[in-house]
Amino acid sequence: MDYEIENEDGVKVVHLNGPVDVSQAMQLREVLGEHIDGPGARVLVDLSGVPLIDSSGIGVMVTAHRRAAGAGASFALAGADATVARVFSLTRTDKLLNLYPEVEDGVEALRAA
Amino acid sequence: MATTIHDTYEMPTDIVAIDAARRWAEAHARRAAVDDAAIADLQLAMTEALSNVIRHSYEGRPGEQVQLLLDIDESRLALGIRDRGLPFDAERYRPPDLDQPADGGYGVFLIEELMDEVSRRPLDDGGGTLVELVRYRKERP
Repeated sequence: MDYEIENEDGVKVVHLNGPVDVSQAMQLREVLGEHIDGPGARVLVDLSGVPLIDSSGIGVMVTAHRRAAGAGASFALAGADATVARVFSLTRTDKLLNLYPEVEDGVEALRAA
Repeated sequence: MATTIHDTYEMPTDIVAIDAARRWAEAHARRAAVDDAAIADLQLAMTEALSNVIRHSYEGRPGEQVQLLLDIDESRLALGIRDRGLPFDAERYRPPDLDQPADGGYGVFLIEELMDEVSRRPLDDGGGTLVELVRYRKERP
């Protein structure tokens, strides 16, 4: 997995590319933690380049969501394909996390947050 | 006639090596014309199982080897994972509370959700465990 961060209208969009698994989880946790850095921070993870997410990756997203909630920041995910969306659904973490079909939807929602 | 596959693969006890193991299994499955959903399910289940073997059975100890055995025929994909580490402690396992989203604890749950059959049996020849993951080649409902 590699990543690239873009600023879109005040929203930090973290584009992930490649599998998000146990070998990447620690690095990703640190990256998201750095950007969810206080009240007003808006971070969107773009999953459209992610073919697989495992339980460690799901755990990173749950941690980031809670960190954002605790810091008064906003955090969301977008662009998951059916395979990746199914993992959020099976674990029912889709009930906690803010998931949007497309990156544009996520950016718009976070801008309004 | 449908392609049948039987192959073995050795990998080190390093979580970074899981990606290459996934690609090995995927290449065989594609050669046997397995559908995308079954390949995705096997790849995630094997990721969770290998992660557990490396982190728990071997307690993160590097320098050991794990053997994978892949069998694909017209009806199913079967992946065996043979390790020489500590056995899975079924008595200590607690399934996740799906009403309380957590930052971990979903690995075994996902394996069982994604696979049609999961078995674990101790190896007689020198200790260790053979985990077998089976996914039938049917359409996902």
